[in-house]
Amino acid sequence: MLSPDPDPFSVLSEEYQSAFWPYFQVAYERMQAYAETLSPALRDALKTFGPRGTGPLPPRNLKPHSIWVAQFFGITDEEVIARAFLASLQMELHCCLQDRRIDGELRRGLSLAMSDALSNVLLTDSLREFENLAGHEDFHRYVRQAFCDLGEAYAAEQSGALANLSPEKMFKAVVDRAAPFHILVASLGLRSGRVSGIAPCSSMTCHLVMWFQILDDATDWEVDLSRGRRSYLLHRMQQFMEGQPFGEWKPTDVANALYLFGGAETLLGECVDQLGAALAIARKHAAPPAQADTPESLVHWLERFLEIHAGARRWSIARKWEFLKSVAV
Amino acid sequence: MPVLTPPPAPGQEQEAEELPFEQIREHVRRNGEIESVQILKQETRSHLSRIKASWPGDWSYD
Repeated sequence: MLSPDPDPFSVLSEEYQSAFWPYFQVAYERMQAYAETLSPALRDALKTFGPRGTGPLPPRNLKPHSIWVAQFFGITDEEVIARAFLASLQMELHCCLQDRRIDGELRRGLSLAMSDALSNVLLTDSLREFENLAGHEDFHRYVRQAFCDLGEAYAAEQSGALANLSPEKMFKAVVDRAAPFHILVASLGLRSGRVSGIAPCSSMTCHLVMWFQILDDATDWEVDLSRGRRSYLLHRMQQFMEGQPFGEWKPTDVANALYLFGGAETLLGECVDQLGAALAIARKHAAPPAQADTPESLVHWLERFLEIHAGARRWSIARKWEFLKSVAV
Repeated sequence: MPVLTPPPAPGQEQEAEELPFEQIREHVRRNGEIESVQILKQETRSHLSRIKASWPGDWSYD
């Protein structure tokens, strides 16, 4: 028997929290202060994001997109990073409210009207701060493009066309949903004056979005299948389903495809490819802070993610060979 | 129990590009989901879940 799956993930998670904790703490405090500026009803609505209604978002649940994008453009001013972090959080909460509404999953106690009211205020405040940070008239054009792309991505999914798209177009339909990420990139890119870096940074974020979408689909596929929603992962499982039409897929068959017949390892291979592509862009285009040998640098973390996913794939394949050996005896 | 092709030597799986999945499919086809298959399935499921669970927050956009 292979030694129990070494758990590099929890070690990595601790390392990650330690590297970004000071930033997360500041962002959390600013979010709390922001909540105090809202009217009482909206403040209560915002609390639906927190655990047990204590929201909004505990520091452990934050993520370092804003820090990495700032590094990419050579921005080291901590005040700028903190402002971008808060604006990103507001934008993500806005998108999250919209998604919950679209999926009919609003939290108990939050009416549609209150959700919309809060969503509008979050979007307004987020865009205002991003625009202030950008300080450039072109910012509006980038925001418009990001939301138009988002609309196209929704349309592709709604029409069922996703299944027939080429791999390149399917990739675009997935990553175009990340409007908040693209708006953050445009804002900090314009602020830095490194406008030629906006396209590569957006491209890098697309690979990161795709990577995480795969992992996200891997935990949600049963819900997606029960709703008849063909997520990216379910598209990729087609090759393991021996020609069965999607409408006839049973959870057991998909579980076998994913966990026994190569689905998981194929997807982990795709994660490695996406992370590798993101890393190549960062190495080529990112400013020195992103490439520095520091615990929070973008390149450092892309290398770590890549290493961990490649290791996870190797372990999974080796475990299956071991299984075959054991049943052959 | 079917006779299965022996696995490649340790460390040579990647180089040989030989993957075990068709043999596992054949094994399941012939023997059904015996206990060891169910364990293998559960292990792979946990493996994938733990990778995602170790990152903070939700990075997806759907």
